[in-house]
Amino acid sequence: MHLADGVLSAPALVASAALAIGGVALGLRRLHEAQLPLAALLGAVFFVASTIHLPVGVGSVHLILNGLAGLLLGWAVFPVLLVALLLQAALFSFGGFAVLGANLLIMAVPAVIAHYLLRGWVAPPDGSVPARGAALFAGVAGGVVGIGGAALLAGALLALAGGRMFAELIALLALAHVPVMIADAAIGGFTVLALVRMMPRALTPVRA
Amino acid sequence: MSARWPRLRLASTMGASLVVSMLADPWRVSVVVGFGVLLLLARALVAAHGGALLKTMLRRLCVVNLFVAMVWLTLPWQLDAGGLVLSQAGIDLATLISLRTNAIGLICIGLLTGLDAFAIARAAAGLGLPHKLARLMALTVRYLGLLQDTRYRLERAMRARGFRPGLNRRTVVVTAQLVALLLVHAMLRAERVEMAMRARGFAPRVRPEPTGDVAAPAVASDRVEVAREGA
Repeated sequence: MHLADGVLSAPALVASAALAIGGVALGLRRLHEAQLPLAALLGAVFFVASTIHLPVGVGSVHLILNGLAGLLLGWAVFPVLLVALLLQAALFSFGGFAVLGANLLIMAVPAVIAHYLLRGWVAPPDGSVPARGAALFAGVAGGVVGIGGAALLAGALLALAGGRMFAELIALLALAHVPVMIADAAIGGFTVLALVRMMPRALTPVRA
Repeated sequence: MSARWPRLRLASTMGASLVVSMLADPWRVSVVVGFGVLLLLARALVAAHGGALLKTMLRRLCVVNLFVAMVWLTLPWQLDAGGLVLSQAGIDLATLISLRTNAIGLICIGLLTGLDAFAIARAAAGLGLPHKLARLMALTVRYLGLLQDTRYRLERAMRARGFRPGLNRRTVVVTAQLVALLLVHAMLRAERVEMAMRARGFAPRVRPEPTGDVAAPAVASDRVEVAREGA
């Protein structure tokens, strides 16, 4: 769930925009010119994947997979997700332009954390194919870190903006993230497992 | 105005979003909301298929108000010793947020509806996005349609084999396979693109040097433009 425009206070917006610009600059520096098509293709996959819905009870949840994106892309996840968020704001009014920096931080910071925490599980240093258990664990943990981290950061930004007033909103937002986290963890786990079988080199596409 | 000035429309949307985000006076924000409503109506009146356009724009406005609904569900209520009580400060803040969100949403929808992803990417590049980011965005937009097609093709194949999504393990495994297949398609495509780029003389990590007469930079840059359009 993206934060909407008009919710955060000016200081929260400015601070998050500044941090997001730093992340994007770092991500762009790590991304070589020759890797731009690869990053764009992976970005397009995650954009398309975010329109896949899983039925849950009477409703459905859509995938986010920011943890998996971070696992594969590292810091390059910042510019890749920025493009996706910009398009979502312009084409569908998901999120907005003034909160772009905040929404990018919410999605990309947990993704980068997932990258550093879990990279060793899917890309053993000796270059061998990871074990199936390790792959499944990395994918599931990527979903938990990605969505859990996103919920925590969104809550922190709202607390920064409204303090005590937003307490119930933060709780509701966290609750809404639970089914998304379960879906992302399950799909992420089995996706990494399938990749190990189909194309292990797809697990380390960007050599940072 | 439906097809013209995408750059100006994107810049105005971003500017308006920033300004309205800083406004704290509900009356001023209300003026912007009124302006946004007029903008939407004007777009619908001028357009050839005004009714359909208005329906599209109103659907997008509903998306914007999903978050507003969450705000109204939670903000006016305070949990304290006496149970759930209505708080005036909460109502005031929820009102301000609703007005701001809708003001920005209306302007965004009024100005950007009708622009496709390609137009957005071109407009953003024209507004001074760094070179690499602009290329990344253009390429992403270019590959979106491709991967969306791949997804529909894979989903049709899944349905043809009798797959029905539900809340079960099979759905999770099959959906994960879909995502993995999309990633594999993307990787293979990226490898082909890289080979094609190398075949055309692209050397990674070497910045292209400006060629031609240094004394006539305008001519040289024209030549680059022509070369780019021809590519």
